[in-house]
Amino acid sequence: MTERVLEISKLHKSYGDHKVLNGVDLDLNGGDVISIIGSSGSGKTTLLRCVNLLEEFQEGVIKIDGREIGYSNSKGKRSKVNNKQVTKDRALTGMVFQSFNLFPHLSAAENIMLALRKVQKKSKKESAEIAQHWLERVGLPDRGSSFPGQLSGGQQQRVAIARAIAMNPKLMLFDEVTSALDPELINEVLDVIKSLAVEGMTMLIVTHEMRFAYEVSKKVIFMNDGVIAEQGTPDEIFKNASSERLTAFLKNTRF
Amino acid sequence: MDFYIDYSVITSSLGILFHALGIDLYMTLFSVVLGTLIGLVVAFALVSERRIFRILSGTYVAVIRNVPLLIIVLFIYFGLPDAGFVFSEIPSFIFALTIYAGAYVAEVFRGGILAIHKGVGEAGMAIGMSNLQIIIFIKIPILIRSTMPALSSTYISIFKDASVAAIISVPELTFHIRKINLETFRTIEAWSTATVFYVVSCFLIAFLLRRVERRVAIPK
Repeated sequence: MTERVLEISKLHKSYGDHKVLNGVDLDLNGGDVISIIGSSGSGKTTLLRCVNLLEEFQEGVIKIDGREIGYSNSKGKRSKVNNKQVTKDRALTGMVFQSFNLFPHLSAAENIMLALRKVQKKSKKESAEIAQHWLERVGLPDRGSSFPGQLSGGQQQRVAIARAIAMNPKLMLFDEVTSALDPELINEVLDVIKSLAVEGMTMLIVTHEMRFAYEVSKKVIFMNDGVIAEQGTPDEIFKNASSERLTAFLKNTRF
Repeated sequence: MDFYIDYSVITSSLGILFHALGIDLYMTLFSVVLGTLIGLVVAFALVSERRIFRILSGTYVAVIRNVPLLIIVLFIYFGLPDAGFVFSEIPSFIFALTIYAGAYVAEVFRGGILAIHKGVGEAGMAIGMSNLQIIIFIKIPILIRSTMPALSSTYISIFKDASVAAIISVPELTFHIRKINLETFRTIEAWSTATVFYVVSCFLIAFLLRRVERRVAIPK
């Protein structure tokens, strides 16, 4: 039996009066790949950022491996856990961003090594070996000494994936990771993610690449106005869209 | 009276002048190093989420930047002994120049912090780094590199400002030049010499800092 890795229940998040997430429930088992699609402003990125605790949320519970992260509930009173615990909880998930966000002053290998050394306290040698392993894995075996400014967008994003996954997270979060890329660089990044899926990595993917979502996902979620408006297998979502909103959304996207 | 130029009063005291220049450089080095450390801490306080940090650091920068260096120097040199803290001229001046430099460097760094892409810090958080680790291993290294051009010109200004030490009789370059002027009345020779000393020194400092800047620059 596969274990439940991520459990999101009744997640609510608002900025002031503006409700962004309005009661989201979502579960991921080990090895699951779930894609989230939807128009901008539907809350998909915010959902991912809540799971990585980059955003606070007012209601709801997020559990990883059965343990609540970010908040604690005792005697019905909900409170934020301390910063140290937030940092620990955050490390359970790996996040890859739309804008790559590599550290510009460090080489590709050093980008991967930094947290291995400072957070996981691994030796320099071991960190370098892990970095090299993942650089090879994302198809950049000889770019370890290159700096982000010397790499193409696709290469930077692959380093960013390597940096996140080298920390050995329970769950990988991908936030529109190809949206900032030139069209000809998109596939090299998607291929890396696909190969991780094949290896059984648990992933939650926000994407505008419909064909990719169709091919890689076990389940696709369509978000609208801060709720999961529809969910199902890729075939159910892309071939047999039932709701009017989803049909309208898919009509306006490339497949 | 015939007008003539006679640099012999200068050439006979060249040794003293170079030694005096050394005092300027020495005081500058201390103030720049300490001021940079203060500036780093203050800059992060200026952009802190904690209001109390912003108020304290903002007050420091506002007060120091809005008061002439001369006043700060006189205040510290004549004021602190009254309060029971007695320093000799050079330490007193280094103290004044350091807190002065700290305020200017803080503003340079503040601009640099604001220019760092927000996502870079978030990427650090996402891989499990603490706020302090992000500041030490990510933000400060980026900051030093990106603000190096602006820091260089701040450092050069501070070197020139070391001349203010003449007012409290620190035997630095401007002090000695003025002394030569008063003792020999060779006004043009004295102040043209000062000009050359300062121009050449600043040029060399700029050249050195430029090399550092190139060395630490983020590869593109």
